[in-house]
Amino acid sequence: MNFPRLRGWFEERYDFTDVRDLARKKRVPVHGRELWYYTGGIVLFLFIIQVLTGIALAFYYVPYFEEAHKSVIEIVTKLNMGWFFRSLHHWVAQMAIFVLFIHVFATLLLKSYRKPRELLWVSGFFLLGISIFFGLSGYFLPWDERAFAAVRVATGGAGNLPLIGTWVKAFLRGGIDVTGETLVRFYAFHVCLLPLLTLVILGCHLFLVQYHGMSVPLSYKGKNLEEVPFFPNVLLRDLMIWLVVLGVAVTLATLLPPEIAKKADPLAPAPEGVKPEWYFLFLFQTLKLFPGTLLGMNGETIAIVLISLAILFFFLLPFFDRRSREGERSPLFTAIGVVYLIYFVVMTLVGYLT
Amino acid sequence: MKRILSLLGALLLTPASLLAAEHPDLMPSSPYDRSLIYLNLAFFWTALIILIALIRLKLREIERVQAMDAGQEHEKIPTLE
Repeated sequence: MNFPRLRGWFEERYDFTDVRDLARKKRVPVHGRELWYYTGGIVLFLFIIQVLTGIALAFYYVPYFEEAHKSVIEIVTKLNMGWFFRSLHHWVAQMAIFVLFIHVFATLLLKSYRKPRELLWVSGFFLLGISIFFGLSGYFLPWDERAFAAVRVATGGAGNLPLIGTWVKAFLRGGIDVTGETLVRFYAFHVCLLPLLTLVILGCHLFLVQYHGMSVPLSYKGKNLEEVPFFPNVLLRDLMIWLVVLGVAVTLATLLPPEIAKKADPLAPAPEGVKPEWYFLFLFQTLKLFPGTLLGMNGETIAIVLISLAILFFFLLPFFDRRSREGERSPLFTAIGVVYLIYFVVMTLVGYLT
Repeated sequence: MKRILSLLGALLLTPASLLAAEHPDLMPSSPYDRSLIYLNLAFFWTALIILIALIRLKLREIERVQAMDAGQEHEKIPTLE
């Protein structure tokens, strides 16, 4: 399987010495927390599946409000394996966001964001935001009543941001309310803008991982850790994990295909008991905690401002955590990370169960 | 008679098709198709497990060779003797 003639053809024309050296020299430290380091690779693998299944679905999906719901039903009922591709796309998206959250919290609690890896955290944070927006825009594409109500709430929430809210809401909706224009816009975000942004930021993220090498948790700092080559040892381990993840995704897609709700009617009231996707539940629950008016101001606006500040603080954590930057343990920021994690898990569970 | 039958047929088929449009089958619904799908899922998992076992064997072999190489390199270090 070496294809010597093909290899010779390329080697006559291009110099691969640097790439080969990089692959040969890349080494990964072995320690007790290395399992968390595989989550980044899992997300990358899931993203590749999303691209492939997304392209297959885009061949048949019609991004026009009168046809969108029908085209999704036709994909599921008429196309050979269409139901499976749609279901796989749905479940892989859920798994990707779930693993991405684990990756973010593992990075936070292991302090992998500390100097000199701050930009890795920044690029990873943007990728998380993009993935969530991928989820929201994809959720809307079937043009069903649940998605319609969820997008109305989500874009309406963005409209409560001070100063830029009105502009953000109009930009997302493509008008005053959620309409067919919004569907076209969300489709463009989902298949053009977001993939392009993801490629650029993911490229930067992977480059920074190569540039800085793998981070070692603070508790292992100074210890003489064994190192193994990335090629092929770590890559083969990655491959085994990816196969298990693929198995789980295919099983979920086969046994639990996602439902298709009734076609959205913009003039109908929102259906009762409608809930956003699980990764928005903590925001949804937080909004519920606030009364309609607080201190004479709109309660929802105050909630949105507080949530935005909390997210901004989360984003800037590496720049506040001075002790980690100097290579010392920082229990305060571990506690902050744990509080964020507990809040996210508890609010998501409460939102799911109530 | 034909008219009555066609009317009855239309009456029976229309609600059925309307229901089908509201609650489309999310995957092939016939028992034969379902059994094929579950059988394929079982084959898929079997193939995955075999593939994982093969990769694991390959990885062990690579690690064994690497450990041997490391030992040999250690022996090749020139000494004063």
